[in-house]
Amino acid sequence: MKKIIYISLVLLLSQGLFAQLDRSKKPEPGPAPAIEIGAYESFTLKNGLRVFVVTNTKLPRVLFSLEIDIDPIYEGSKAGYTAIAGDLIGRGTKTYTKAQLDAMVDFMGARLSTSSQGISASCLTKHTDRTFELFADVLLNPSFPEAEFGKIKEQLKSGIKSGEDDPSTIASNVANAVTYGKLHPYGEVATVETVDAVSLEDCIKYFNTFFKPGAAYLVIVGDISLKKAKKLVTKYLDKWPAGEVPTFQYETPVNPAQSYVAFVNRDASVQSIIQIMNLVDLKPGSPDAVKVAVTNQILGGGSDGRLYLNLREDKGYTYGAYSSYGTDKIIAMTTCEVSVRNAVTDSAIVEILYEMGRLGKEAVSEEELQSTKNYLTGSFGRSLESPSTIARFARNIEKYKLPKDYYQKYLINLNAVTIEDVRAIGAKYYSPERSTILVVGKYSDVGPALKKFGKMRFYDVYGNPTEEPTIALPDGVTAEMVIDNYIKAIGGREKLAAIKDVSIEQKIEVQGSVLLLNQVYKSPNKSKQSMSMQGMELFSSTYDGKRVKAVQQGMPVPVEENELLDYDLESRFVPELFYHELGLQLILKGAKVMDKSKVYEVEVVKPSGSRSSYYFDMETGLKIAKTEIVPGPQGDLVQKTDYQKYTEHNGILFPEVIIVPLGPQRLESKLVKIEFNTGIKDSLFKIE
Amino acid sequence: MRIKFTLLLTVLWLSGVFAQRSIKFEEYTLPNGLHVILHEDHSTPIVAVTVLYHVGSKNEDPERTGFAHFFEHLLFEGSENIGRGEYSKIVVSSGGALNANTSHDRTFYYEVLPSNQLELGLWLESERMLHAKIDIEGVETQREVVKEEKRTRIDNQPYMSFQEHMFKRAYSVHPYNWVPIGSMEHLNAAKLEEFISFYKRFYIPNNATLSIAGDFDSEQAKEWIQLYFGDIPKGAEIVRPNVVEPPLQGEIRDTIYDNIQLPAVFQAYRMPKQTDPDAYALQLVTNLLSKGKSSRFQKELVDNQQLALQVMAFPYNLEDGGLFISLGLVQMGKELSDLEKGMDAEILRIQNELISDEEYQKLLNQMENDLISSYASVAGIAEALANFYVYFGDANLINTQIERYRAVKKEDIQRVAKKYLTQGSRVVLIYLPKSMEPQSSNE
Repeated sequence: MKKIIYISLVLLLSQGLFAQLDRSKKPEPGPAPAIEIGAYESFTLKNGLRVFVVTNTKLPRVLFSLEIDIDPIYEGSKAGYTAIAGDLIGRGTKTYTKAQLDAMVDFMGARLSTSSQGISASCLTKHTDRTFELFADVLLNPSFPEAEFGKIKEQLKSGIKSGEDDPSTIASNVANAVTYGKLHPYGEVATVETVDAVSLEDCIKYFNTFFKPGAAYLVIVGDISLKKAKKLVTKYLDKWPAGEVPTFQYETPVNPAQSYVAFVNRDASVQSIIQIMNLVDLKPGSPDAVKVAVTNQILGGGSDGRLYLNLREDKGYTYGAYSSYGTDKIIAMTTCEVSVRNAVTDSAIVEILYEMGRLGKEAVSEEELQSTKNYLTGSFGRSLESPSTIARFARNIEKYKLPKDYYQKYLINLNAVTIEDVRAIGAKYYSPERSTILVVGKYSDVGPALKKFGKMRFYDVYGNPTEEPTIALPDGVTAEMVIDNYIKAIGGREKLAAIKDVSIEQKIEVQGSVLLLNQVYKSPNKSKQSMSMQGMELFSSTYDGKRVKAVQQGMPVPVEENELLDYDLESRFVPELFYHELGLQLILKGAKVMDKSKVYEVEVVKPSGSRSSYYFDMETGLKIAKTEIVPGPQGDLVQKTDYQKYTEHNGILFPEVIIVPLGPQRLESKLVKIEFNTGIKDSLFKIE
Repeated sequence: MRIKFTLLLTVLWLSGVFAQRSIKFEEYTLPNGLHVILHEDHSTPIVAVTVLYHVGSKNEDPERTGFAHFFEHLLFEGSENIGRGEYSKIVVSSGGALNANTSHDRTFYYEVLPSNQLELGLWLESERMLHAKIDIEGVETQREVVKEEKRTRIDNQPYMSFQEHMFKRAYSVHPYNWVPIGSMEHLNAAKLEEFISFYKRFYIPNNATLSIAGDFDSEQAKEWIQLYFGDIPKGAEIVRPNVVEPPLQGEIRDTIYDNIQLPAVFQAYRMPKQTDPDAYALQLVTNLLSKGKSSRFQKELVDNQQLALQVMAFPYNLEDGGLFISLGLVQMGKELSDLEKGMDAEILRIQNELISDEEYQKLLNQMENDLISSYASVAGIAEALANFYVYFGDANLINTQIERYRAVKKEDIQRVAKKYLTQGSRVVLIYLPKSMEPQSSNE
């Protein structure tokens, strides 16, 4: 009997083990743990300093963090001065030099740092008193040494210089400059020039004006009791004199009326950084804030976000694609950001805009919403591992005047977000039609394809408007090679040489009327051109190989000697075939982007000495445009002719559409017919 | 009487009684070789489930570099029971976070989950170990992602090619010759069978450490670990590279032209194995040079001479002996050669002068603060326990490592500086802006 029990027990156990493990089923979670937010305490000194204390003895450490809460400051021609002031605060007190301070802090293994926004320090529990004493000394008695001021400026300038080649620094500078504008404190960028303009007095004045207890919060976190914290703070900071700080208001920046591309060229880039930004009015603690948290998470909060799944997992465009948002008392921003290889820059933008637009149009599934809420609940729980989180909550409640139970209720509010909430938030805060599309990348590779997203504006690395960038010429290319390529592209030397004569008929529709344009060329250099409207000849010119005759509405027009020099060249159907023979000077001016194509620019000096530039598509070899500088009433004008839609006629390519300039207008001339070798007689070109 | 009391205090303090709060854990090994480490901490309702595979870029075929790192991506593709792309979805929708990282020596995967999802984490990690999905579709997608990672983290970042350039020159025969990101050509050329065979060789219980930290019950955890990992078959014994890299003969000096504005210098000296007591001494040397505002590089080269915008030294510790790297970014308008001379002078000073008692004590105090601060999260603790077990064979170093630093004497600091930091056996890379690159003569 005993044995049987024993055997069945073994059986049961072994079966039990196997029976339990069905690997195809995801294990169910246990009962959800309670998420408890740790407590904090607070008190206020007589001078107005608000202090928050979070006691947490898990590690024998203490953190002190003083933050001043003031309106943003517009620094203008001295951009960077508050940052310099912030650094300078920690570089010596009336009691200790910088070297002494550094040595004392380091000896304890502690940390002490200062910025324009405040002072913070951390240390092991056993060094609490000494660390706070130094912290208070820095806050109350900074000495602003002139020599240190000079060093900070030099270091800051070097830092700015080194940032000029860092695509992320460039993106962050320009993103702020273009969205907020350089006249808003959020859009300012410090440069070597603005740093040079900062004086020591600017820094001292900043500190004396804004570091006031009434405008500050002191947060103390870690292995310290409330009693001890109170004693320390009272002992050292009671004597910090009270004072008012000035307030500022700024015009609120708005989104562009239509999306546009802000482009920063960086020739060395193998990837484009793309940021698509929308300004939003989203204040901390506003009822929309938690809904935006959910919506942002769905769009691109992490490795489960739509941007990541679309651009990385589905398309392999990128290492990561994310969205983010901020809350701010003045103006906040939603951003989608990705770094992609050059070739897929435009495709990546298409996908991001699609995902942004989809939010406001399609309902999210119940499953996606629930999964997102689960994630945010989990990440809220994880964040509580750090005692600084509790301190931040306490500070936010005070700073943004949130209800006392704001964070207690956070998970309830999070779980109350509905499918319709997400759609409404998507429509309100993510507008593909009114976005700023920032791209930092190699213009010659990625630029042309971006024009479809809106107007393109170009910026330098500090967010100042610049000209459209040029492209580096590939090694070894010459003007002659570009011309040769063109000749090959339109049919080749052999086929072109076989053309004895050509007649071309084109029409231009202008203000309801039709202009007919006839051109006839006969080898080697005879030509006749005429323009007529409703059978009436308006203008004609004939060249018989030596002489010119021009007639305007029946009246002869004199031809200047200078112009005559160029007739020989222009009376040839393909003048490019004769550049060499006629000894024309050709200059390869460079490469650039023109109308979505990369082109070579070749300048031709004609026999008369006048110059024209021709643009040849790098890929097809075809001539796509010509520019000439002509004198105009208000100075020189650039006149541009475009050659579009090349089509084949007897093995020769000829543009179907030519856009010709007529004063300030641009007229579209369409090919009606083109015929070759019809046996045109010399008599047609006879000049009486 | 007073003197005695102070003495007693010092002894107590040196023994770490005041500072260290010991991290309790238990560990055991399953019959299939999987090593398990458990650390309970109930202060926050979360749990970190981590697996360290003792495979890194040094275990790769020199013709197939980048595999270990590639697996860091591939092993999120799914398994026999987890659909493509579901792995991360399951974690995220359960309120968790996940990631992985790869070094020359090992790969580390982790999830941090709400504490009621421990079983889920174990299921996920066991699926990855037992039968991960390795197919052509996953390989193709992740190849593109890895190429983008390389572009994002290295090719498009100023100075970031230094790691590859440095290791290539610092090791001639040891597989530390290449870096974890590896070669994109190798990844392109690799066939599916090669990936499958790499998986079978290295992602096995006897090459893995499962380290769990957080809010859970150890007894329950052990049951689940047995259930999910107990039946994963043991793999073949792993043959690890057994190459002894000869010392560098002479200084290797090269110039790299990069997309940068400020010239920089990178120096690397070879270090002993990370388990060697001298590795601890060298770590303290790097701290002496660049930890804190009073450190020697910072004080002399940034504050006093104003030659550098940034200058630092750090140990790149590795199982078979890593690199002691120092680097300096020159301040605008200053000469790089002066900065390099200044960095060398600081190392010479350590070699020629014994450091003061005060400076020595500072180094130990800083180390104590760093060690304590680095165990602020359960994920950090789980990773440290696994690292200590795998590299040092002693997970309890998490509590006692400070002793190894305290065992380093002032004289040791001088001695290791003399022994390892010799100008005659190092790699020096000079980074200059591309605009300074001399044009080749055939242009």
